[in-house]
Amino acid sequence: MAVNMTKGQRISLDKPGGQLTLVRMGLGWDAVKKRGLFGSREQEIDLDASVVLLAGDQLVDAVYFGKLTSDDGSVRHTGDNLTGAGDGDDESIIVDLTRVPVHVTSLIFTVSSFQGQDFNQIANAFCRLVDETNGTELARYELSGGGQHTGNVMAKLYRHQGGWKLNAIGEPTSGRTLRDLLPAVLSYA
Amino acid sequence: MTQLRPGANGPLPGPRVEVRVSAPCPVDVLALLVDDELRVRGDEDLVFWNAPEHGGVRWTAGTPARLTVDTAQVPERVHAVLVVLALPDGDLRSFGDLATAEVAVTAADGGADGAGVRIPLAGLGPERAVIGAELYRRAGAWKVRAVVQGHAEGLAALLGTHGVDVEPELDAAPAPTPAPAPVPAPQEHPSGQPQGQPGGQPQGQPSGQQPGASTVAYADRAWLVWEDASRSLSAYRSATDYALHVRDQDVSGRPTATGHEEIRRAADERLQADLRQLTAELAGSGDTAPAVMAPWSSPAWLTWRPGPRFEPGILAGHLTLPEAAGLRIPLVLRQPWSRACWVRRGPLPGDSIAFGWSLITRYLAAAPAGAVAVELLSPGGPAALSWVQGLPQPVVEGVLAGGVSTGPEQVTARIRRLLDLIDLRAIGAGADVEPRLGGRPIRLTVLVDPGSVPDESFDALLRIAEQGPGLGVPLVCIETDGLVEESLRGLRLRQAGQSLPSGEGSGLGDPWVGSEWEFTPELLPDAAALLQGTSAPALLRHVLAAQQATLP
Repeated sequence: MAVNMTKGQRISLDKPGGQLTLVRMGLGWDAVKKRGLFGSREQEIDLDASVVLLAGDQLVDAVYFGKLTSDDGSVRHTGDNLTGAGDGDDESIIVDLTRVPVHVTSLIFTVSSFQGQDFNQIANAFCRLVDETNGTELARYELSGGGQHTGNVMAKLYRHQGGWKLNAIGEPTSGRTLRDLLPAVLSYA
Repeated sequence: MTQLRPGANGPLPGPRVEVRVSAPCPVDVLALLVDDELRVRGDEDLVFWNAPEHGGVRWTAGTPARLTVDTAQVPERVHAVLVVLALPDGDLRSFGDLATAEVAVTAADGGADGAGVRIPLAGLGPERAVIGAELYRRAGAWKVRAVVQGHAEGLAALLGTHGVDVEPELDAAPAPTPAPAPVPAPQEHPSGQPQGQPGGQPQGQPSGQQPGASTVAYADRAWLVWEDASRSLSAYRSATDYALHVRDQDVSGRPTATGHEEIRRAADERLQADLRQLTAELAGSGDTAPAVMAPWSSPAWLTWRPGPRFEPGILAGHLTLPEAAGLRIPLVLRQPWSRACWVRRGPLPGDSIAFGWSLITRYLAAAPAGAVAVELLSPGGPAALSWVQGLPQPVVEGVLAGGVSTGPEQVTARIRRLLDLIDLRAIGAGADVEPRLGGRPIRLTVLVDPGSVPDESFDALLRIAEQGPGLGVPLVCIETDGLVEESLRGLRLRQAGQSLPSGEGSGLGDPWVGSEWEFTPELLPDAAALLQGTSAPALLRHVLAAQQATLP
């Protein structure tokens, strides 16, 4: 019995927009090669991935290299990478959306350059959001060549009809630490 | 609420009911409107995220989603409404892994308090989609039955049985599912898996058990549960604070998106669900814990004897919270100790003595026979250790051969010798420093009343506290009358150790978010005898005598 529900369509169990449950922010970059007097040397670049938890416009918690787990345990940072050595994502923040506290309405992901080098000086820098349940990339930004900025307000995840939705922002801004970025972050709250 | 076991039925709590699912992870919830052969007439009879309302059944998004059934609106031809639960495609587990999932059916209009039924999804195995409940007509009335049966192949297969034809490309996504589905089944049976259901615990293995995987798991699990509970509580408190903030905004006339009551209710629901799950996780697992991780009242103590190696942890007491009545988390100190142990004074004199020696009894019970020599220091004088006189001579000459030092001079001299031992061990010597101890590798040092340690020995004591535990000289300080001065040194000494309060209901902050828990120490039932200075508690005498044996 193959019944059609609406014209020409059968029942799809695919969820509209996908139900996000576990997402990961990945941040990757390479050390910059610099021509020095004694051959090429690598300049150390320290990019930091951070996420801010908001309830309405109120700051609830923040996860960054100085605080690797949110108090409620739903957000975990895999740890600071000071140089960008290695391929792929150099820093990751994993968010279990099913465990985010009930009053938190949005999460805003940011990138900042701790030593203050702007994105023009950083090679192969990108940040991305991945649906960890299936590996799908939800959003990706190339940061390199992004001009004389030291920070980026990358994306916002917010509650929507019992699920979570993604709003890609990608706004370049300036600031070496999460604190510097907060005004820009709160403007998206 | 009445609990229904699979197959049981009861009256529907009202003409309009709400079906809520609680589960430790995201679960999809759907409803099927079926005839008396349990088949749908058409695919409109499936109510779910893409078709949230039909025939008196409404699907409301949430984690998990909620169903509302208005029986008056259900078409006459529909004999029953089936409540279907499924694990999302990304989730490779099965319902057998979710011991705490539950379906609750309550009156949608509130109804009488306590009315409604609960259906625990217990006893399942590799099923990835199950029918939790059946709401059905019976002689003109509606009833509810616990079904709790399903399909290992998942949702599409289950829906297929009831006549829903699911879009094939959908099968492309769950395609891997039929393959892994049989795999979890065999994993289920060689039990001992930590996720096993509380009902299926193996029995009768408390004593002779090797400190193998399961007891390690118990020590670790106690800490995991404590962390989860602390974090859940932190989320709850943060949410309720925010709800207060929202309420104040409401009062001041600024409209807010979500009402404070709704936030409070959601926070409360989340906390209760978390606590239920954590309580279930702990329930039963304690039955298999070895004696040293079980309460003194546990029958495991009846058959205790020293094991071949150190147990991975000892039970210090239990942690509770006013917000969570049913949750009692064991505080297990993991072995070997990497830090000194500081037993704080309790509200009553003698609290710390009773708890300190209860803890030491467990420490000795967790050690293989012949591994530990005990060193007793009482700078305040012999009174605190007068019960030692009553011990059998071989114990005093063997296990306690490290010496009983009382009074400031003896203690100062002894601390210096202990520091020598630590220094020698640090450079790799020291095994034979004191041959009369028979090569016992662990020198458990018990310091009663650290506040009376003479000033000149304080720095040496600090070094023992900081370096000793790593070099086989674990230190237990039992704080009694003399307070350790509130100086930087005193602070350092306290902080060098794991600080434990003594006395009923003392506060203990968790190490993750610092919430205050109520700590109830595990006390030997006859610890009071120590206070009268007359005799050692029976179990302490017993474990000391067992330590008397030499290492094989």
